[in-house]
Amino acid sequence: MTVTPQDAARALKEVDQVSSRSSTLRRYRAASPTLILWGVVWIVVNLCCDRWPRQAGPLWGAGDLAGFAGSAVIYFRLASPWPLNWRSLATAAVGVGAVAAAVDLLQIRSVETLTALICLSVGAGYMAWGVWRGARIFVLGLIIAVVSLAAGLLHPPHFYLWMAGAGGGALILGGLWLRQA
Amino acid sequence: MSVTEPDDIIHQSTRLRLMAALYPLPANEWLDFKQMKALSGATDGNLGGHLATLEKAGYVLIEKDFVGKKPRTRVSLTKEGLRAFQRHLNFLRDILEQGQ
Repeated sequence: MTVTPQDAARALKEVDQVSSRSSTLRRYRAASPTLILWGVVWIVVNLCCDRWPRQAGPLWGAGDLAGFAGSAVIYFRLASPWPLNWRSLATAAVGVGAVAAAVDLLQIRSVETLTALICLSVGAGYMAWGVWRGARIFVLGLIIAVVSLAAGLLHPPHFYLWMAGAGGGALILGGLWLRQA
Repeated sequence: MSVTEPDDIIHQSTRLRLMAALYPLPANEWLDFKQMKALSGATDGNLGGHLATLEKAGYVLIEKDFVGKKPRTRVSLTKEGLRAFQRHLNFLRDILEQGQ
């Protein structure tokens, strides 16, 4: 069989494209259960906040704790393709630090505005992640960011129900969308 | 080490795409029939034939089972398949370098 340099170039290009697509789909499948888990956390915590708005702080604390514990279990059980190293932890720390500084700088005292800002930051984080790791993650981040921004700016009468339905629902539907990719 | 001959089994276009789809996966991970079809662009009948050829060569492992009542076919790359694919990629890179 004779293989010309043009044939070789074409074959290598095809290999790169298919391998890259396969890696992206693998990342989607790996991200899916974590997104669904956080969607459930958002819905449960926001519904509880709607019922007991003065307890929003402790409720979010408990929800975040459950979410991070569940994410850790999923991460180690599914042999995640995301590297857990000092760079990824430092990136997360920079994001959390920037949001905490913004909250302090802007003197945010309303729990609803604070919730919207944190959720907006999560959406922005997904968008940035999606720029590198796949269009579907970017789209999901954009939806979460828009939902959170709308909630923060418009302050709908049932703010927490809005965040539960639109935010939590977007995370769950997004997780299912990634799983079916 | 320079490779002088292409791997005739892998070099065929659809089989090259199938191997490329499996290549980034870790050893214990599988792709199901639907995913393989989407990644390779092959039809059902075509895909089955090419996977059978790769399996016969010892390059892939095919497992058929049931999820609930639904039949499932899963495919993963064997160590031999991984080595053969890497050899074939080296061959293609050598050809490309010689042509430049």
